[in-house]
Amino acid sequence: MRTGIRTTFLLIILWGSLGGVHAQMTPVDEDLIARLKSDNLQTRAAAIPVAVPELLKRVWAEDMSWHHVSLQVLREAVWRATGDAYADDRRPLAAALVKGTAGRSSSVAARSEALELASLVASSESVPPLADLLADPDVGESARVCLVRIASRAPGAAGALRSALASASPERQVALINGLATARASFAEQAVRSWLNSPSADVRMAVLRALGSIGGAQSLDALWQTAEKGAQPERFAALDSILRIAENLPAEQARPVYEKVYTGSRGSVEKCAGLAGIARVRQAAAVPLLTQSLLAKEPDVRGLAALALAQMPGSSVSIRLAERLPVAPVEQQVAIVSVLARRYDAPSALALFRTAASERAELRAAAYQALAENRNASRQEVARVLAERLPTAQDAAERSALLSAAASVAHPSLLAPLMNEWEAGRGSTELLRALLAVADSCAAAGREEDAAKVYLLVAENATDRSLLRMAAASLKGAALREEFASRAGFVMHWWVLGPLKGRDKWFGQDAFPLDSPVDLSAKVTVDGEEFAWKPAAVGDPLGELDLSASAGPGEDTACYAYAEFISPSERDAWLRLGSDDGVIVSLNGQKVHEFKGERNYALDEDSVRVTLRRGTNVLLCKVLNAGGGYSVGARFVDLEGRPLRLEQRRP
Amino acid sequence: MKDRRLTRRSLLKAGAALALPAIIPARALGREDKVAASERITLGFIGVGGMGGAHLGGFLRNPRVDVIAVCDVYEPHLRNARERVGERCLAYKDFRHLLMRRDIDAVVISTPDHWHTLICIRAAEAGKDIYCEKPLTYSIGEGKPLIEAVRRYGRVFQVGSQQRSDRNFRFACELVRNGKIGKLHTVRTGFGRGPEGGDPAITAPPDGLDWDFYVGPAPMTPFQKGRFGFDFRWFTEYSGGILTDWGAHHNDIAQWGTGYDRSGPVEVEGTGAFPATGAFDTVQDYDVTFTYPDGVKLICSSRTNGVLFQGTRGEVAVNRGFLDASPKDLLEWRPGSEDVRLYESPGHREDWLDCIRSRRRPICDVEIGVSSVNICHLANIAIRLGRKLRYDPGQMRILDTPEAESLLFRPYRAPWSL
Repeated sequence: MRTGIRTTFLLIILWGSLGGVHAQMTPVDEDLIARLKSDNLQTRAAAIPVAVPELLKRVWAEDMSWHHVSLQVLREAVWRATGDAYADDRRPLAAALVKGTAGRSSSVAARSEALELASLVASSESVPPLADLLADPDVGESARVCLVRIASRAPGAAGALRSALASASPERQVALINGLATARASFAEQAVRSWLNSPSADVRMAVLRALGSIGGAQSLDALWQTAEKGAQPERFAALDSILRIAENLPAEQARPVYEKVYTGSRGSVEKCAGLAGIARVRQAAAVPLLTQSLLAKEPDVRGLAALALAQMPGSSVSIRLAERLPVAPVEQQVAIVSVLARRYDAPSALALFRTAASERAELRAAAYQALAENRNASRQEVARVLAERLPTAQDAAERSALLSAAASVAHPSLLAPLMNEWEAGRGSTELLRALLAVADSCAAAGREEDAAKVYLLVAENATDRSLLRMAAASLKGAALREEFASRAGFVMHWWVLGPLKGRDKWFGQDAFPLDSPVDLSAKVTVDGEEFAWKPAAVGDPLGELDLSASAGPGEDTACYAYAEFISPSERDAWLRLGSDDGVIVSLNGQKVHEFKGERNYALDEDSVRVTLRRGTNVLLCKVLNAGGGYSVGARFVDLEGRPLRLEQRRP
Repeated sequence: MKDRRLTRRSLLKAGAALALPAIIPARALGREDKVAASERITLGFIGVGGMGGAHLGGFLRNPRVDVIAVCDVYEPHLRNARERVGERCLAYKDFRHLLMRRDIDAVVISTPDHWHTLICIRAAEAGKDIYCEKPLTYSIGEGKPLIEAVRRYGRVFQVGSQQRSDRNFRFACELVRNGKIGKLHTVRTGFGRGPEGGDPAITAPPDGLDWDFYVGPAPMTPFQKGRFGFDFRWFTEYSGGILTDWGAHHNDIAQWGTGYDRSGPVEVEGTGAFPATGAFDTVQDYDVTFTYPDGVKLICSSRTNGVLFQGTRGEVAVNRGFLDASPKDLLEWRPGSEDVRLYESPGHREDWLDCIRSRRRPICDVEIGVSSVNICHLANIAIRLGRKLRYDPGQMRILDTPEAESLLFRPYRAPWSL
């Protein structure tokens, strides 16, 4: 057997079968590495005691050249050994890794790394040497972590941690107690609890936390003492452990614990925890307390009660809530309705339909929203109720709730009643939003023409650009897209001139005078190159004129876009504009806006207040393109944001 | 703008992360700009470097919150954060001191991954609502205690897998959930290769960094430059590498589409390769196949980027700023009143703030965050062990040898414990 280490660099292929195929240079003997990954058990067993210490010497060594490869070889050997096919490698690997740690021939970091790896393959046989290492000032902590990690499969590992407790320093006691907790060593409960009166606050804290993992009912009294009298953060820790212990107790034992947490709570978080526990162990019997908690002054307690009620299984819970509904105070009624919204069963839906006919407007409003949310309630039936109530809404709040519910339900049958609302002069953004949602459902049901009417209505009337965006995304067909843009007031007919090379130079100069009328039939000469104005039409529903298509592609260029339109009177308006990338804008020869950065085109990104003169107005945009595509789009809206559809000059 | 018109081909070839999806500001949703001080949610920030700094900027612009405390173990980050917030903000090195403050309603946690679970649990105990960056846990074994603690104390918990709040991802998942691509049989995800490199030289930690506190529950090692800052995620002591860093986004979406986002696969097998040089030691290439109880396969590979759902009648591909489908008309589909509609978030942070008020569960609740990152951890374990593993998603256990189970949890370095 060759055990020597070559000083020459040899090519090795690491663990091709694992997929981690690397060609690497290492001073480790090629043959030794090959034997470490051999398919033959005996060959590997012989190689491991030699290869592991040699590789460890290179991990975290002063010369880090071989750290990476050596560590990877070790890791892959260990990872492979965690499987049944290479289970026989575990003992020699664990032994070599632990021995390599004790030998101090490697750096502290390498020894820690070895113990990390050993924790994946070590068994009971490694417990005594690992226990010996617990007191090691350099790698004691790594030995502890290794023992914790193997505790579930190595009898004696957790025992070694417990045995070390008595003679350890407070700092190490904390580590050992934490380890026992992580290892779920419930046999150590008493030993750990006995340190609850330690003079070290850190040790006491560790004990309080550990008891949540390894403690049982017998630790509760001790924990309560701290929870009731202690100061933060020990109080938090004790309370958390009490709650974790209760989670593992039978319901009848856990119930008084949760009730004590709830009644003795000093803040909302404790009240939440108690209430959640009561809901868990008492189920339907907790409904009265939870319903009462819907009126708690703390919002998180109210929220937790609502969530617990919404998620509690069984239609009997819905029935009890429905029974409570008519006799509860109105705030509680609203909260119950909100819970019923999230209980997707027949009794909850029935109760909500009943509530939608309540005499109280605020209750009806809550019921509309809840019906929209409750998927157990027939969509068609909910739509029928909403349609019936729309014309008789008592106040703005009820009307708003109806429209919001209509937008959620979005049933095609709502189209006619919503359009009636519009025609009755009760138009609003909320109504448009509901109409838009219903239009999408109509389109999904094949009623494309009905949907199109709504989309155009939105284009003409929306003052909220998110509505325009949503409607535009639903449009089908080029003709409809153009019509949409036109109704939304976009400039549809432009003349473009460009692309003119050298974006930056056009920030401060122009290719023609801006203070005199632009002659669209004249040629413009720039740097000896002749340019002509070309007509360009907008096809995009959100008004974007693609200049790459109409003027030609042009990285690092500028391009003019010109439009003329007629205002029937002098008036103030907003110019809404988007560009890709920068833009300098003139209106009737006066510069009114500029953006010199880079950006994508976005609807109405810039808003500029302008005065339109009576008669012909001229809009000139100089688009400055840094790279990729470039574009511009503009429209005028009145001071309330409604589109102005101005007559435009066409080619 | 450059490269804004993505194609499906470019999606599948791209290796780099695209821009973050836009968060819809409250203002755009028509909410009031001004919120009474008594109505504002008071926030503490734990970890104010990279992502923490970005979140801090986002929340400082939000009129619904007041940032009143920041915490970091790196003094320059802490000083910078405090200066950004102003004098009223107190600065802490130890997160436990911040959590003791009763006037803090909620915390934003953006530490390195190996700290997430421990701080989240302590925050839940202290009654704080929580926004925690992804990947939510460091190991599978941390998942259950974390979920239990959040439920025990009734906290509102949002995981920072913000793709869920992006319309394209939701739409793709709704197509799948409503059977629009037929019977789903395969999901393909990827996020390019993990990096290799990192200076292996052992040096002194930078001034102002409490290295022992930074390492915290992870094993102590000598300091190397990459271990602190953005590159921490390429070291196994602190993170699961590219598989958890990006898997917590794309695999999260994959499970959202399949409907297994509170559960998981029953089998996993895969291969991978680790960096050959440098200090980084998390997986670089990966090719992992998960099998779900209904036979659906999730194939996660470093050769692709994005999420592709494949069914018997079509496909839908989605990534940041990209959505495509075959047949094309799937893109024009809109859910009808009887169709499955997934949770629609107004923006990831806004959704969390809304839920703090309503006490409902946000779009990426703790249970979802745990399930999503668990499959990323499983992928790492399967690659390491080089064999097919059976998994019980309910119990979050590997049904294999006890030795393989050891990889489910790494005991914390003292004095830290869950």
